[in-house]
Amino acid sequence: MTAMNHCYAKRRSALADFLSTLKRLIIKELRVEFRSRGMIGTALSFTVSSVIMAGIGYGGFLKDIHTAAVLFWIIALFSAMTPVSHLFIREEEEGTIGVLRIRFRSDAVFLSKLICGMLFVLLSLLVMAPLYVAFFNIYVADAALFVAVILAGGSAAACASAFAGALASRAGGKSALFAVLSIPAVLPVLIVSVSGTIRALSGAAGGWGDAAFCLCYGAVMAAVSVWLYEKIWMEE
Amino acid sequence: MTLYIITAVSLCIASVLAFAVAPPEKFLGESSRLIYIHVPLAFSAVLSFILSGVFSARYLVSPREMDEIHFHNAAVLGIFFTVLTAVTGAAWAHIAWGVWWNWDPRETSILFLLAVYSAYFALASSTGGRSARYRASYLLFAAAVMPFFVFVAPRIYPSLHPDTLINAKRTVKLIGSMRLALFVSMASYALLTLSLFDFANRVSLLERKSSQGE
Repeated sequence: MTAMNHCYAKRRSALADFLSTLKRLIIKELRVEFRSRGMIGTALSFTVSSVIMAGIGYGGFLKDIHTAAVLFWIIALFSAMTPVSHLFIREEEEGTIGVLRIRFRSDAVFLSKLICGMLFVLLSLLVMAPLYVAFFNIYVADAALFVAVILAGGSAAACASAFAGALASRAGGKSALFAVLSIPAVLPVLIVSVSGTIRALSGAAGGWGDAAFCLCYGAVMAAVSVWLYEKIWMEE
Repeated sequence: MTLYIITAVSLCIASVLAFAVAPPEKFLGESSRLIYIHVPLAFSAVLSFILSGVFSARYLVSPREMDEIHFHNAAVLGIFFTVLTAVTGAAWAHIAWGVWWNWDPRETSILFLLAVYSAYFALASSTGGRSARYRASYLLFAAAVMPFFVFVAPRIYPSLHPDTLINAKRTVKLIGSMRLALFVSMASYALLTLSLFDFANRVSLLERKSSQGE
């Protein structure tokens, strides 16, 4: 019994250490990004200007629900992928990845960047969605489902593109390579999110399944990525 | 050599079953015989991608030159079979539905698979010599994405394709001779995949030995 308690205490202590490290890394990422505001400003500017451009180009009421959903997610995904790649590429460009390697575990570093990436993606989408609905005068039949699909789709897109960002930063190809690697991984999210958004805008049933699919896809991608990041983490 | 002989014999048997024994389907007519080429090609593509994932995992756990050769050649074969699947599928779509491409979920998923695995070559050319770990990591990532395209998405959305072989009703809606021809074709194409894989690995190994000898 004493040996079991000791083992249990050790595991709890290891988990507590990991969570504490993760929290410190997340706070570090948020501080760096909010201090420079470069990435956040760029992502939000890109999002808002894309919506404005589309609104001006279309000229007002967007009655076709399919077009509305597709256009929303094309703008959303391209806006969403920018913060995620930036988090990894910045570390390589500034040369600070070596310091992280010395001090922290690969899974903690990856998860901290993934969580921050997700936060920035969701922030972009939550800014974009009301603007989009207002500029295009779209009627949302099921607002709760609309929000759920945005949150699930945005999270899944971040999870699917995180490893591509990490790989692109390590492989030296940077933004162009990131786009090539991440777009195919994000395509299932695009299809399912568009389907869920159409259902949310029209009030049709079955949209919650689309949100659930996005969450599952994101969870699988995150789990695979955490393990794979360890393999590319160290220098050759 | 034995593998190649068995593959050749099985392909001959599959061809006889497909073109001489199995009857044509009632509505599609003789064009229905494309099922004995198109479906096995798709099966071979998935098999190749699974092989690339397995050898990538092996390489990441314990790096060996042979595993690097294996996962690379499996990815190349997978793309080769995926292109053939798309081409035969487009031809059949034109005959059956009157259009070359109509963004059916299965057609779209094949296109996505091509995009995912084509990105592998972009990564390989971008990283140069020190790329085996990165390439293996990406192929394993792609192998994790692949089931969503091949098995999940086409089953979620309505499709013009007939019911899949693995379905909820657990029935294969083909008469006996057609079912036999299809399964024999799939088995022979699996052997063809393994033969081409083996051949490609031998060629790659010879190329490496000759370049090291120089």
